[in-house]
Amino acid sequence: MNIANNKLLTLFLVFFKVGLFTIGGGLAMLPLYRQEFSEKRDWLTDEEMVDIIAMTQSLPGVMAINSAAFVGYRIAKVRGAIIAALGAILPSVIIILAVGVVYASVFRNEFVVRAFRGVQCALAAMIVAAGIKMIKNTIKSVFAAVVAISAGVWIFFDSTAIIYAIIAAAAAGGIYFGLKRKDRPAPNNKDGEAGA
Amino acid sequence: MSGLLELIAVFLKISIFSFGGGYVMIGYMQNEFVSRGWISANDFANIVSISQMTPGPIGINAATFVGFTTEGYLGAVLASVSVALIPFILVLLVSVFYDKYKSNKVIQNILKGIRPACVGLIIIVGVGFFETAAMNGGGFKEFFAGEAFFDIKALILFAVSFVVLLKTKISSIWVMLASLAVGVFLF
Repeated sequence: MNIANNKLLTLFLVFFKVGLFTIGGGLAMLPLYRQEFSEKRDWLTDEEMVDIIAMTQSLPGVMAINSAAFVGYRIAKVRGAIIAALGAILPSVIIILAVGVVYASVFRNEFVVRAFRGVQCALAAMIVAAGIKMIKNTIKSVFAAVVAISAGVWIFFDSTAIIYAIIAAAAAGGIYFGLKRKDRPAPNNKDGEAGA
Repeated sequence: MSGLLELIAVFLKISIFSFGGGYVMIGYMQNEFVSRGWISANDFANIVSISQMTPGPIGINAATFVGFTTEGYLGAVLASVSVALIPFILVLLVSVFYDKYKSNKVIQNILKGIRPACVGLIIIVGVGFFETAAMNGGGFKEFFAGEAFFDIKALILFAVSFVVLLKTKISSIWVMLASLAVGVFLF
């Protein structure tokens, strides 16, 4: 095996591991990223690590895949990016297929159904709590509060409007902050991250 | 569902707007697949619960699961690739022009609008799961019309989980595993 292939194999395996250990996902994974990319290997500087976080939070998509594309490209161009992303996706596909195959038969069992009624309560609590925890970092201005509440109310009354609500919020941000005076520092310049 | 092409199209569309990561993606899937009746609200809540408790990013797991449920093995693979494809290409483009991108005022302004909207969206996604888990006969809208009512046991389990998640550092995976065990005895 030549060196180039070896590099690609390493990329694949590292991101397979990232995909495998991303439980829930998002920023909780940063210690693993640091360990794999900057401590064990000289793949990323601390500054690039910050760039990854900033970028994944300003682009659509899942952090594990986005960081795979970013790091893979650094290491071995487009080929590296593809290999790394496939490595990150593969654990999900394997594990979920295994679960999916037995889902229908397992959920005929009344114990499983009851157990999952319990989990559904925790899931609802987890997602509402995740949203509430994001308020502190994200809702720092009247503008942000108005956008968050309007989007929430709109989506609550019309669940098919999700994409329109996001587009409207994007437009509102572009227009509101675009019209604001540049020389006057706005209190919400440091609007935090919405990543989860 | 009219086939693989529609599945791919839906996941490509979802991925373009999935700012804010997995939970936002879940919201789009809920809208696309549950609101249209392709997956029941109960099955979808189970799918997302399993996606959270198994290894892998929740957004990709849920996409794979939804793809498998609607279109089998091929659906699972194509859904997970489709949901990753456009963000993947955007990352490649942006990492080439990163410095220009980072300092672009228009993009930063747009993101300042999108981020708070994602917070509102995620909370409402959670409210949707609350309706599935803890209400019978519909959701809040039906409740105010006098048609739906709360399941007290589920309401208590929700409240306890919520307080634990918000006030302690206990990881959500443990809360979910605990409620899995509690559910067997409670319901």
